[in-house]
Parts: sequence; C-alpha cells; structure tokens
Amino acid sequence: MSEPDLTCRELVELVTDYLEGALDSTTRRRVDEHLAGCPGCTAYLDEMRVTVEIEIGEIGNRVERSIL
Amino acid sequence: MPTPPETTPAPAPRASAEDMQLVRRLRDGDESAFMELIDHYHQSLVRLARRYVSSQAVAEDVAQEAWVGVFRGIDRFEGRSSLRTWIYRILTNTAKTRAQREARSVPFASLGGDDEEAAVDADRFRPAGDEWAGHWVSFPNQWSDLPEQRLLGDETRRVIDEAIDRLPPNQAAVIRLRDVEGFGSAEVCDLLDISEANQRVLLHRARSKVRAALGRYLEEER
Repeated sequence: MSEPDLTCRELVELVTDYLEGALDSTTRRRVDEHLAGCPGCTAYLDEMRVTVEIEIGEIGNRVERSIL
Repeated sequence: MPTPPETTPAPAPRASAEDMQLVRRLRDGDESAFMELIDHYHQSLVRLARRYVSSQAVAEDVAQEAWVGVFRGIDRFEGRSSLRTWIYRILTNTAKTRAQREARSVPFASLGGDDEEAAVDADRFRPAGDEWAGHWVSFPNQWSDLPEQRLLGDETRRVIDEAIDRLPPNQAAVIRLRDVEGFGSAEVCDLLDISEANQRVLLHRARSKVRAALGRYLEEER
C-alpha cells in the first residue's frame, strides 16, 4: 500500500516481464494501476505488442486484440 | 487492459500429426520431404549456429553437419518434442561441439549479457528534480493508428531484420527463436541452456531495441 507509484521510466523496464506473465502479483497490480492512468505507457505497451506481432507475422490479429 | 498470459510457461509441444507424417516420409527416403525441411529451416539453423562459431563459413558447415545428424537420427525420433525443436537441438549440440573444437567455447549466457542498457533513451523522461521526474516528456505514439499496410510492408520487415542483425549474438538468438520462429520460452531456455530469468532479460533488451528501430522508421515518415 505504501509503495511509491511506478514512474514511466521504471515501467518500460517491466514491460517484457509483464507480457511474459513473470511479475509477482504485487508488481503486476502496480503496473496495471500505472497503465490505467498513463496514456504514454499504454501507447508504449501497444508499440511493444505491435513490434512482436510484426515479427511473428500476426499483425492481422492486432485490431481485434487492441479493443479488449 | 488485456490480461497478460499465465505465469506458468506452457510445456514444450510434442510432435504434431503433421510432424509425424513428415517423419514417415523422411524414414521412407522421400527426397521431397528432405528438400522441404531444408528449404524451411536451413537459413535459421545457419543463423543460430553463428551464435556459437567464429565465421559464416563454419556456421554453414555446422548446419550441414546437423542435417546429416537429422537424417541419420530420424529413425530414433520419438515425437516427445516437436520435429522443429528436435532439429534445433541437434543444431545447438553440433554447434557447441564445434565451438569447443574451435577452442573458443564461451558459455552462451556470459556473452554480452551483462550490459546495462535502458529500454528507452533517458532523455525521453523528465529529469530528477522535476515534479514529474521519470515520466514521459512526450507520450509515445499509438502505432495502432497506422495503416496496416504500412506495418505489414516489406520495408518494415527489413527494418526489423536489420535491427535484429545488429543485436549482440545472444539477444539476437533469443528474439529470433521467440518472436520470429515462435518457440515457447521453455524451449528457448532448453535450446540455449539459459535460465528463464536470463532469457527474459535478453528478450527485453532485444525487443526494446527492435521497437526503438521500428519507432525511428515509422516516425520519420509519419
């Protein structure tokens, strides 16, 4: 509860662990809370997802997933 | 917010029905099956071998040797892993043996994995002392707004391929296997003899740099 909020600079270093489902539940909740209030980091996470989807050739699924 | 995947890594898949069908053709000596396999995997095997040996020529040689191993060993393939994973494992074993012979055997995990690099340039964040220290100076752009043709273009793929080629060898190997070839994390750890944590660090650095390269390309023509 008393943990300080994550900064954007800290969050970008957690993005891969977040996408890999490798964060402990506390950190994952802090990331989710930050994302909920930060359009910049939400955009960054989206860029990271798009990068991976282009790499793996799955860009066609992107639109569907981005509206979730 | 979309939910990230489950924490437990998916177990490595076993051989599929198509795998076993291809294996039967290989065992029957069907030449087109051999050609299919080589067409599909040879370049990837050479690239992966390059992480272990000193030159492109040796990497080519290692891949050739691995193919011999694949065709000799196909009768012993039991389908406990996918055919692809089995082939890649033969390649990494062959490459490691060759690297030892080359007397430049360096444990994979120690190669350039210790560089401290930020995922995003520090000047994109507000400096210490600022009321909003550590937050974005200006927000990244939503790539979702870009037309799909632009993201799917050959040029975009080329930008990504070149960015991967510029990565340190261990980062390049991880991102290729995970994101280009589509292996699961457990398989990649197994193939490259690295821990899950080490793999995630390498993947993170690799993806961050590829994203940055893609960003520079997409932003310049916005």
